[in-house]
Amino acid sequence: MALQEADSGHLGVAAGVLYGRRPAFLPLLPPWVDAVLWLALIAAGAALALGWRRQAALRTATVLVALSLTQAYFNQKMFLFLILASLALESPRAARAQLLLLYIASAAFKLRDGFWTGASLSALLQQITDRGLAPLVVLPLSLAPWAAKFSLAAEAMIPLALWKKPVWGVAAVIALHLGFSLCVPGLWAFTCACIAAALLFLPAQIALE
Amino acid sequence: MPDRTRRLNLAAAALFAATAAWSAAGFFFPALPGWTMFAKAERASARLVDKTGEAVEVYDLLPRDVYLVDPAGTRAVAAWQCRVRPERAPWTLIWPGGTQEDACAK
Repeated sequence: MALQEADSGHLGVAAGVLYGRRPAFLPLLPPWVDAVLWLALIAAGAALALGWRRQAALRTATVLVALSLTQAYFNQKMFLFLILASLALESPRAARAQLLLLYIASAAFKLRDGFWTGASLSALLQQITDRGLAPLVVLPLSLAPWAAKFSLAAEAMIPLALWKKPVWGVAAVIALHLGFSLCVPGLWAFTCACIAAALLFLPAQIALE
Repeated sequence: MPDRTRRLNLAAAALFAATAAWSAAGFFFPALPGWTMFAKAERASARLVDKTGEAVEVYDLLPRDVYLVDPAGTRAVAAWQCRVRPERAPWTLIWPGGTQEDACAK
């Protein structure tokens, strides 16, 4: 998340030259605070990866992401906060439930809004082109209706797969989110958070292997 | 179950319940941010023009990993630009079809 924000120009939000969605009543902190937050977040992430003071690292990362949310709100950052907070509260079960809720809610919103037609995905792909963003894989607009149907079906099925066949569910989460991140720039942090949360569904022995 | 474990579990359950309630609320009140994940995206490109005629693309006022999914989002960016650059007001928001509106009206 820290690397993605740094790479995407979020210092511009703190500097007042780029727009960030945030609660207006909270103060906008100066850019150097963002930089310190990112460095601290990277340190907490490294500690987690190395298994060094894991619980303290989890709690630190939770607080840092919460602080970061006050500067700019994004769904992917909020989801990362919820997973970190659940784990900091020593409840992997709650983290798993958050992931299931994410897929169920996302599929429900997409069903409500007619996502399967591909119109929304086409608009998103067009925006990527208009802004000159560089996805690793360019998804042709003509494939948008099929890609939309596929992703909606996957999001609807993943909760069941994670619950009944965790290995298949985790494989589906990895495939789906890699697909998202390859085609839509700026989703890598979300992809990593979802894959990490999905791994919590695996039995401990498989996860370790 | 020790008290500490019970308290932590309760807090995690409360956090989940709050998220679930928030998601459900977002289903009925579309203005709330929820787990919509690009469920409904429209073309939202527009150009902002200041009093001297200098133009800026609304997309250029966003970090690269932030997407606009509807005209309301575009207007929110325009209103922010009005607040942070009042010396260049009035700002006009020009949509691709040529429609113009006062960017600072929001």
